[in-house]
Amino acid sequence: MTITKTSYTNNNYRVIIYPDGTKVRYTLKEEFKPLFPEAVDLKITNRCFNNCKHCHELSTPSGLHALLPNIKHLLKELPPGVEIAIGGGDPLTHPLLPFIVGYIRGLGLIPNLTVNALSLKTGDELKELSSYLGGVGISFSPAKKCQIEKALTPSTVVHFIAGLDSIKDAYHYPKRLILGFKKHGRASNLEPPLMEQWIREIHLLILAPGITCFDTLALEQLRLKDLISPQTWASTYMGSDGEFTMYIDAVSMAYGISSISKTFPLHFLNIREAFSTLRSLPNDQI
Amino acid sequence: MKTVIRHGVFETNSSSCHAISIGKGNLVDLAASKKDSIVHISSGEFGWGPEAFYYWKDRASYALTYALDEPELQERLEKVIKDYTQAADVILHCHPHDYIDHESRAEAGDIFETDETLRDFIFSDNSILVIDNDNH
Repeated sequence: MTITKTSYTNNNYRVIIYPDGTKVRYTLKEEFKPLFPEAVDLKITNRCFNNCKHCHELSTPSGLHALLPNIKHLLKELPPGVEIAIGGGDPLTHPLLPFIVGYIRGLGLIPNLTVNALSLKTGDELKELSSYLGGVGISFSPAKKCQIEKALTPSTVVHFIAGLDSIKDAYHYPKRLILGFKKHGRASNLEPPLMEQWIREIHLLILAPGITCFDTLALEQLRLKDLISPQTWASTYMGSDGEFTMYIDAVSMAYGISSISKTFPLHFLNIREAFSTLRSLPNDQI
Repeated sequence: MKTVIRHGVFETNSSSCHAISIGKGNLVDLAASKKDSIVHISSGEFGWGPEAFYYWKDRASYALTYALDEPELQERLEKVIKDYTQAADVILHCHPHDYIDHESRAEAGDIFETDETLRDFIFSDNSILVIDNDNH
């Protein structure tokens, strides 16, 4: 049940997604003007037992789960092909996770799942679910290398935090996502100890075999604009948070441009309306 | 026309989005071609899409399909691929029934303007071939 090639129109442009996750966005116009998000970061739980000192979500062992009817209500407005990045908390703690993934697939949406390696006891936890998922993200932990190895599939992306994890570990994985260090939540008073090394060596990681991805914060913290040619930047920069994506906290029914930005209660807004609202807000309000 | 591409990954970020995804992509493929020493390119069917091609051999196939009835262009294509890949030989497989949709054919000719435009079209990491129609 792998993801098949899919495409959709979003106002004035087209999006094609290939089975390996490659996404092409193109338009004959000057700029892309989305009417709905291409990807939704969906928080399905605030429960997590890992107690990471750098957690920006403030997730706890007693955190609440999102309700399935709420998730269904939120996602039904989206057309097939939109990606749903399921996260938490630790999404593996949500007792209805398989149903949530199944529901998302049933709508023709692409469910992706991100878990922390610390949540993997054996590495087999994702075995049954992974065939229903598009991509799987695993947040790296040096103590769980064996479990990560076991859980790896061609669609697994291992997540590293710039300045916190060792850059040398990132070479071991064919697909790696480098996240900026978020000074939020429990990490608000922390300084990333290895940031200088990451800045010095990031070009070597990009040149290594495989695929290296960055979030917007990592692009800024690692000063990647100086390293990447303007042409490559123009053809690979997918936009900043909130431009084509949005964050939905299905636990507290709130939305924002990302999980570290200001969030707003959804009330009776559907997802398209919430996305449209975000895009219309001035920068200082999001 | 404006195009952006995310290479080889789904969106798994649970706090924001993948802003840039880059890989060695074409370079890895080219290394494999060198190793074999012979590059095979076949013509193909390029209808009205929508479809996007981000693999260099697909773009070479598109160029070959355009050049099906023009041996001179085929020679140029062969030379450009050979020069760039350093392959021992380049074999072009032409199938007479292959085609490029008639509405795209005029634009496709631009890629043969010079050897440089042809090379960049096929091999540049930033090059992507998108075929589409106006029925949506």
